[in-house]
Amino acid sequence: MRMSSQTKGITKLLAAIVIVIIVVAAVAAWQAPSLFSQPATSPSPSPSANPSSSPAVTLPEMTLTVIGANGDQVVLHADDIAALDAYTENAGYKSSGGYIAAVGSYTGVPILTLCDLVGGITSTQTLTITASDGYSMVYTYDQANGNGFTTYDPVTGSEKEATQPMTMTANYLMDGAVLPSEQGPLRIGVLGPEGLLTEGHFWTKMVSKIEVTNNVRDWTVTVDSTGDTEPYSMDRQDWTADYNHFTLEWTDDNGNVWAGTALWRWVSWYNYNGGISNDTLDQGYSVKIISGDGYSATLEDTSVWLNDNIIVAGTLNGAVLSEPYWPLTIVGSDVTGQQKVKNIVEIQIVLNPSASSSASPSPSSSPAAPTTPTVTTTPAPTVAPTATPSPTATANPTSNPTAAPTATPSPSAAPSQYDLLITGTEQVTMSSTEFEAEVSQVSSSYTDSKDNVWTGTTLYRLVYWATTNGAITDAAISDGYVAKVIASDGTVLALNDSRVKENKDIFIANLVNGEAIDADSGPLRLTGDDLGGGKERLKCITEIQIIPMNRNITLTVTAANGTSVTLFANDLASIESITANGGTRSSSGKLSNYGAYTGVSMLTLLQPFGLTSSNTIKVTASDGYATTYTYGALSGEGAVAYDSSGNQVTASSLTMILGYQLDGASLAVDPGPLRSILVGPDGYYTTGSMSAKMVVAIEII
Amino acid sequence: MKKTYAAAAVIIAVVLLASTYFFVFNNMFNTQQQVLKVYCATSLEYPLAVVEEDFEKAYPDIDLQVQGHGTIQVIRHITELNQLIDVALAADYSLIPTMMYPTKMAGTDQSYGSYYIRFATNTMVLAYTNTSRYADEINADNWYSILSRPEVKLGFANPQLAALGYRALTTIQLAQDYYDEPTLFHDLITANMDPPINSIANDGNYTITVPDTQQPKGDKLTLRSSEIDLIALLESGYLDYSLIYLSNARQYGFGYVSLPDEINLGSAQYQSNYERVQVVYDHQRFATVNLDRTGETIYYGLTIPANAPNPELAEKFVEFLLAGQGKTDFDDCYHPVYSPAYTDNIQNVPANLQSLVTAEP
Repeated sequence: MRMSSQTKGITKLLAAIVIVIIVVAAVAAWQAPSLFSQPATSPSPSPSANPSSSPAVTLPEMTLTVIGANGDQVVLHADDIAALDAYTENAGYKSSGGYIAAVGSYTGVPILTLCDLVGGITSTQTLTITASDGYSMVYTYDQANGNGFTTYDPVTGSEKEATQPMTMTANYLMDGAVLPSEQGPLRIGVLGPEGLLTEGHFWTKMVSKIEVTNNVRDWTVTVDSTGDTEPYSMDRQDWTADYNHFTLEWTDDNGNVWAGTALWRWVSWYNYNGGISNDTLDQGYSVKIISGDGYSATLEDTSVWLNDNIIVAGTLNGAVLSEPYWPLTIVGSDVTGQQKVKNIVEIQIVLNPSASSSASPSPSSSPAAPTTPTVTTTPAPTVAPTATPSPTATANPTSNPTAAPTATPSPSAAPSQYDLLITGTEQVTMSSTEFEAEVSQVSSSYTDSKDNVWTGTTLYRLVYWATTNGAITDAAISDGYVAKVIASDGTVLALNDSRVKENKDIFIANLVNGEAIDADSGPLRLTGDDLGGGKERLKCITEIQIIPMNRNITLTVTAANGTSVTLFANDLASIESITANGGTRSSSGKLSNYGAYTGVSMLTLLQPFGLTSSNTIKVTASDGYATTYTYGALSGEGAVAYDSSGNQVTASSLTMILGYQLDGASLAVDPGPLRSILVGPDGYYTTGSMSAKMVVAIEII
Repeated sequence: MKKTYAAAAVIIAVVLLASTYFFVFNNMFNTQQQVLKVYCATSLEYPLAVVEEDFEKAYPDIDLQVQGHGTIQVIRHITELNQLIDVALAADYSLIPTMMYPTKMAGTDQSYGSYYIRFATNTMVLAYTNTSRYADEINADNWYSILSRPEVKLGFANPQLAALGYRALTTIQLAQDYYDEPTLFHDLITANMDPPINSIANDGNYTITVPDTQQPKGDKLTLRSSEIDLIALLESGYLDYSLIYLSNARQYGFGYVSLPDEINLGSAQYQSNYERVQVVYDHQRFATVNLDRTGETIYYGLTIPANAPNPELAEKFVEFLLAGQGKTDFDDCYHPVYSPAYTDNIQNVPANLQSLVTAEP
């Protein structure tokens, strides 16, 4: 049978259809398994699986609490978050099992933007991010800034260092779509133009809280006694101040370095601040260290006093203690296992029964020097051998054969009796007996490079003595002071109180190797381990001045050649001072700011910086106020003076000073701590424009 | 007429072929290959990849899907992320009772888990390659001193994330006493982390404190999430040595130093010695678990969660692992499976599996 051409055409068509269908069916069958298996092996949606990439996406309901380190808190909802500047880049993560997951384009708010809502984050802070299911992760400051992550290639999963900045974000979109509920509505990610992966555990899901946390927690430890005394609280800031000056370290058998301050300094701190008197302590006590769990250990005063081997430690290997040791733990080579009290919450001075009945909350004002049992009895073996000289050697030097030069004085022998002037607002003479009594109370020692052992009492103790013997009041130096040590040849060393306070390594020695200091250096010498060098170890000390000066004094002086130096209180105290009366008259005629100012002459101050008569002087205050003076104005040239009635008068002599005291008290931060003002023997007022308060900078122009 | 026949033939052909097409497609799509989800500690990924292949051969209608995570994360996926997992295998069996027993499934009084099967152990070894510094001289007597050399680079798993991490810290601390090197932990760990990981002695015991952030100081020490990354760094030569499990060292062909039983965490005989070291954490990472760990012998554990979607398939898998080809696969991968394995609560073990386990003493 022959087919027509039409029939042949139909047959061909049919054959073609059949072939097409078979091919389609075959392809379908071949593809089917992979279609099945793909969802199982690809946990992360591909971009094509998220077609909803429209930028106009409505965010789901969400609540994000952001808490700052200072406690500030904001609660953000979807609208708030959408209103913040968004950041979009690629990212993904690598799980601990090695899976590459969640690769895509993310949109979210940079973490730093969120932190800025509550005061930002600093390098000493960390970020704790918590999910709604309770999972939380802590991120470092570096990580919050996109640094410090291990990064991986998004294709191979191999480690690959980022070459472009990365940004840590709280994301609400992935590939343009909102995150699924088991991840979102917010999820942490680390985004960057290279699309690198980061470790999966940093990708906190379901974020509900972001908190900037200080690495250091605040604390207080109660210091009290068993007597009738007020409990005081030592807080972290107080302790840190002491720690910065009197750091002691102890390395345990396993190489761990503990650092803190000596336990005896806590007793001293309580005593110095008026918590307990010397008289009471002198009757004997023990120190009870109490832990937060109630455990306690008690150490006798004979083992505690001046013993730097019993340490109240607050850091371990350079970091703040963690539980169970936080905040403070007793350690040291003289601490037994049972005495290692952790988590200290209280330090209690347990008084002897007789002392308990006479305990007084105020420091003793008696200059008498009852010796503390610590030093009058045989020191316990645990006492640092250099800490306390033999009481018989120091309490009565005349009984020491080598200290009896009066019979046969040698040319170099120091006098057995001497006086030391202690000058505050009043001048008091401290006798050698009184000095030695203080040595018996607080003793310090220093071994020089020739192995000479110098012993005496701390400069700080003499300041304390001054406050209890009428030279100066505690109130006068409450804002700060400078201790100015003056030698017989006029040499001076001025020390800020921050360097003096509770520092046993700056002291006035009266003995060297157990004998009186010879006349070339003695009878008293400034020495100690915290002095900068021989130049500071002044010989033949005759006077100690305690000058009330605000400890916040900072003055930048810019010389005529453009160089600048910063001066502090002790620098100004080293310059000869002027005390004279002065005051100001406003343009309305009001007379004010009158009194006896103490300070340094501006001419004296500035001449070492190249001041000449051709210069002018620009004075700037901490509030931004600035004024200029001619060279002549520093000597009162052109100044208009007024008497106390406001009548214009002719002043015979005026001097512009940079004052740091008014009527014997340090200037407060406002109008001080430094004030320029014209003063003179007549005590006249001058125009207000000639005086600047809160001076922080002087420039020679 | 001919046109009519031709049209009819076309229609019939199309219908037949279309039917064939849809039959093929439907047949393929309706193949109900069941999915069995197994989450495991990453140190088990290697042998389980072999088991997966053999299990699917034995049960072609089951698609075994194995996912590795840090052990803590394995369990957290179940208890906190509410994922439906059929079998969980942990590198630290004790996390099963710690995390699963007290946690009730949402809306029920039933716990996520009520028994564990302790099925394998491991030991800590010091792995290295031929290119590691001092590879030609390291041995069981001098390894700690070689690690202490400044130029030697050492890798640990992150103790905040992986059981391997806190076990490595424990091993170093135990080595300190064993070799009488009192500053070994400080020199290797504490001094190389900022903030430091401290270890403090107390009457012969040690408390190691892991801070809330993990940052190595300098390039002596490298921390990674799990052995997967450590192995890659070791292979690449970036690391000289890493403390990992014996099974992984052998699986990946590393050289290794066998550590004494007193410190390798692999010998129950020295359990009391291991217990002298406790690792505590400064930061509560999870709502349901306190991570603090006391040193003990390494035991792997598994369980079928109470909300497993395919409990019967899960039982088949566990049986395959404990007594079938899976056990052989593990043996071949240098990670032997106990026979019998142990359980803490035999009455809660599925009946089909009870003959494969014995109650713990």
